[in-house]
Amino acid sequence: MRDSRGAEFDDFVRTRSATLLRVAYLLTGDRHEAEDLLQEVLEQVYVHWRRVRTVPEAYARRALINRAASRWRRRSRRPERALGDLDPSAPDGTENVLLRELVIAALRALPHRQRAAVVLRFLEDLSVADVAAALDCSEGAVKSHTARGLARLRAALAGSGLVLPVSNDSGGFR
Amino acid sequence: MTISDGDVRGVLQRATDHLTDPPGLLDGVRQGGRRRVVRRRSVLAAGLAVAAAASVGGVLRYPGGRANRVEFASPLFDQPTRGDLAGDELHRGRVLEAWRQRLARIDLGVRGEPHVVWAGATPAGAAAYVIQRSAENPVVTEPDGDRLVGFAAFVTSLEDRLKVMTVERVTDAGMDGNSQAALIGDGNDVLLVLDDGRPVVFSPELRFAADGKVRRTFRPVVFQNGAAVLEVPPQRTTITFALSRTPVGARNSLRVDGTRKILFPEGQNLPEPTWLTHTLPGANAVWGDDPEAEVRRYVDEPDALAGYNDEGGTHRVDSRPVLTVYGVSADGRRLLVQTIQYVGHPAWAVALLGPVGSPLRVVASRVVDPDAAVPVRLPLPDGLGTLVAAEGAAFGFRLRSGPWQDAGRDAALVPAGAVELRVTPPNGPASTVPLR
Repeated sequence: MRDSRGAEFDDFVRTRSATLLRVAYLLTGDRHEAEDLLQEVLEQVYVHWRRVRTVPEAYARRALINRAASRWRRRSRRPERALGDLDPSAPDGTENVLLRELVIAALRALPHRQRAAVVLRFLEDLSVADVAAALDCSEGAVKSHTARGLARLRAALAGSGLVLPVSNDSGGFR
Repeated sequence: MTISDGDVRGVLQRATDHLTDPPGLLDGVRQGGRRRVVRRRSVLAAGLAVAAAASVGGVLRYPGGRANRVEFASPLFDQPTRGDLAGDELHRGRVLEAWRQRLARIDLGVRGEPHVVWAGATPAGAAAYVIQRSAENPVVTEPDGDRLVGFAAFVTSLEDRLKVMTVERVTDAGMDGNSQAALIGDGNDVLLVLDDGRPVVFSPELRFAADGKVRRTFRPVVFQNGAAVLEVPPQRTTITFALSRTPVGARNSLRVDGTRKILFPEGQNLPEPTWLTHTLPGANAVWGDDPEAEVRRYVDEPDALAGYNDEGGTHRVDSRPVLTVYGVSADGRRLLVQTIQYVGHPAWAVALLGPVGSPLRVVASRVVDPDAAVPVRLPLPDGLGTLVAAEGAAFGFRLRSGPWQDAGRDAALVPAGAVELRVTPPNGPASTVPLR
């Protein structure tokens, strides 16, 4: 049976959880941790649904960022795991797996706010203003975080040989 | 080499293309969300003492200079091990070794030594419950501000070794959000329930009365030395037992580790039902300006349907369509028809009636026959006619030998005087069904 959150909440989870899971994964670098994080955040949205029903995604995104930050702080004081342990997920193409590990390692090397800014700007395609709202900082700070994070991510990707640029701006792989 | 913004977008997208929603996410979120609501209400109503009343309650102390680290004193971490194997050092050693190996694989930050809260023998072999403090104590719920204080899990026998079940986070708010029981054994037929000091009741079987109401017989769980071991019918494709604090209800039902693999075999997400809502002519006159919201209030907070819901049971959403029909009866009352269904059992259609502004009450119920030309056929009392529903079908009726009269599509309320119903499915010939 549905409860007072009704179909509206169900629709939100069904339609937006995939995107939020992608964000959580890039923020945590671990699939299981991302799934846990997503569930915690969606439960939080559930509790506050009446208050946040008009902006559930923005609320969820902000909660995701905050919770990922505390996890990241905890993790950053411990030795990193071997990359192969990050995500023993379903079989995948070798290049995809290598690329994923490269991206996760590169993001992990970024300070949390740089990482969040890059993920929100380039995975979620959010505007600078929306990222500023999610990170609770100024638009100038978002631009700064994004530029620094992006430079380091580009450097990591460029040295890998896994990403070859295409002539237009639609993104591409070969 | 220059990598464009578009390339970065593509890389991030591709690095996450392998992700799919975790199985049962929506159900898990709803279940977890409800527990949070309950816990939050408890705290708001009675203060933290409510959570601390259980044996897991504790006291926080903040050592200077470390905002992310607290000292949490709780009997759960410190009390002597309970259970009939509490003094078995060999078992204890095996339990702790299994726990350490498990934690090494999932890389949780812990500190101090793990503590065996309970260790005992069960028909499914030796078992235990272990807890260990987390290395850090970040706030993990907002705005409640609950802090992570540890990790805990049941440990159970699997052939000749020990297996750590789901490792759960423990917060300073208590254990209401954690599994207090575990379904164990090769046949999923043993229930291990921890004693947290509060009464728990148990019902092994889900049965239904002739009118579709849930019939469960609950009996008190008798704890001995920290836990109770209950034998249950083998849980194969559904969860038949119910385990709840008192009073029995969805908000008091206990979380049971080990049920997920039965509800979501092989980690698969099962098809969601189709939610069908149909409005009968004239409904707006009694259902107000926002009829869907008003209807949802009754469907979502169904005090009148309480007897039909398996309070305290554990179920996943059925993939059969869920039907809601609302309208107005011939005597001007609100009419609501709702289907209720549990996996492995027939669906029931339940009709409720009530004057505007008053609670609705159940007036009729009948099993849904998915193979019939008219799956939902529900005679209402007091000469109010018959509610019929068949998705996509067009309905007509006639009074005695009179002419056929159209009654709309999908769902209809045909008058008590009708003697025949004509059903025209979307892809097939019309058929006639006698109503008397």
